[in-house]
Amino acid sequence: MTTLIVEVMTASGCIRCKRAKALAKKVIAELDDDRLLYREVNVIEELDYAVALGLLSTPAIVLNGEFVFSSLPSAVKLRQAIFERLG
Amino acid sequence: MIRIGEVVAVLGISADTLRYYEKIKLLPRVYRNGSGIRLYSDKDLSRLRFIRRAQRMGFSLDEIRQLLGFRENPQKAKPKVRELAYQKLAEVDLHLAELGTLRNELRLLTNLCGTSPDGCPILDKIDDKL
Repeated sequence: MTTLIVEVMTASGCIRCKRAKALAKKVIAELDDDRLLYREVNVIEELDYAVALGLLSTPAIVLNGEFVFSSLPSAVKLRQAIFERLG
Repeated sequence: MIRIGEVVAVLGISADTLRYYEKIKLLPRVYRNGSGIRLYSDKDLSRLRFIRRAQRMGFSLDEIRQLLGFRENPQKAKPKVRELAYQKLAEVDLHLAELGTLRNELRLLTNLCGTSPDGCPILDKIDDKL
């Protein structure tokens, strides 16, 4: 089974990060697919990872290690990006 | 052509160091006017900028001397000097990659600092390291 890890890149004091986390959780719950895994990444705690991805601000959404959204996407766009990668 | 004081002001290299470079032949003999005052040409300045950059990269004066020869005449450089140039090129590339990572890290941290209403993550990160 090919899994897809949806990572929400967050930081303390980032107001829109809460919305990004809520959005990702909602989309994952709606898709109800066992292949989907959710992870929250505090960029300060995982700074090397965030920098290697090319992250410049939060929130951002990373799919299987690929920096896909540099800002808060719509639910439709996030769902579409997930579908494309799940195949 | 400019005087030594202007070179000091433009490049931030002291007059003593400029005279020393000439003495050890890192810089060819600088032109003197009728009163014996040194006048530096654009070519001299270009060479001095190269020396300064290379020194900042941590190259020794002897290595810089060889690289300057290479710079003057790359086609006729000896294999040993070419090898040194390749080796130094690799070091510069590595340095650039490290600088790029540092730039991105600082850019991310400054962006986070600018948007955080209750503190600055840069300071938190520095605190963690102390």
